[in-house]
Amino acid sequence: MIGGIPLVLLAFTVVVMTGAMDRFSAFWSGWGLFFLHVPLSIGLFFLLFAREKEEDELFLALRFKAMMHGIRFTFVAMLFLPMMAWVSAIWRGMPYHFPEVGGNLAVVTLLLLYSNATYGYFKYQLAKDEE
Amino acid sequence: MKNSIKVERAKKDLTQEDLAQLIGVSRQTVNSIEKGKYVPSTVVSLKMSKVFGAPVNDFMELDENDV
Repeated sequence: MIGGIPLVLLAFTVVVMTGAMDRFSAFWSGWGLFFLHVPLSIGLFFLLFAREKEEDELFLALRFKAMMHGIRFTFVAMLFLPMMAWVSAIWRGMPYHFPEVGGNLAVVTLLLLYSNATYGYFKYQLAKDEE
Repeated sequence: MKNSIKVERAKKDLTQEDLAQLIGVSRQTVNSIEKGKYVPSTVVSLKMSKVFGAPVNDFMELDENDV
């Protein structure tokens, strides 16, 4: 794994997915926030795919690797964590609803968010190696 | 993958920046390759081979993890 970044991302996902922050969890639900998801996704897309000053195969490889990490984190966020939250809620006898996150733009936003975070981390590591 | 690119570069009296320019990549890429953090493509490996005037096998080889 790549340092502490998965823990930060997973902690973020737990907070959002378990609805610990009601207003924030609404961000990921339904199609209602189209006006927010679309510009955010487009912004994150351009951030991830923006050409580096000295673009070459290394950065292409890092971007690809970051996307793969993003996909992995998204699967965890979409499937595993809500399932754990659901099991935990049932265990405590509390009602729990899965976030309506599947099949909407929030998934794309989440994927791009994770990919950008991972890519940023890779670039940080690269700069650190230079020292 | 192990490599002795740093040694070959020193023999030719080239800096990372010089080598990067000759093979058309960034200095960060040369640094990552030398440190074994990034495995270059065949094209970049062959370009290095041309610059060093030696076959790829002379400065890059598989280690026990690759077998």
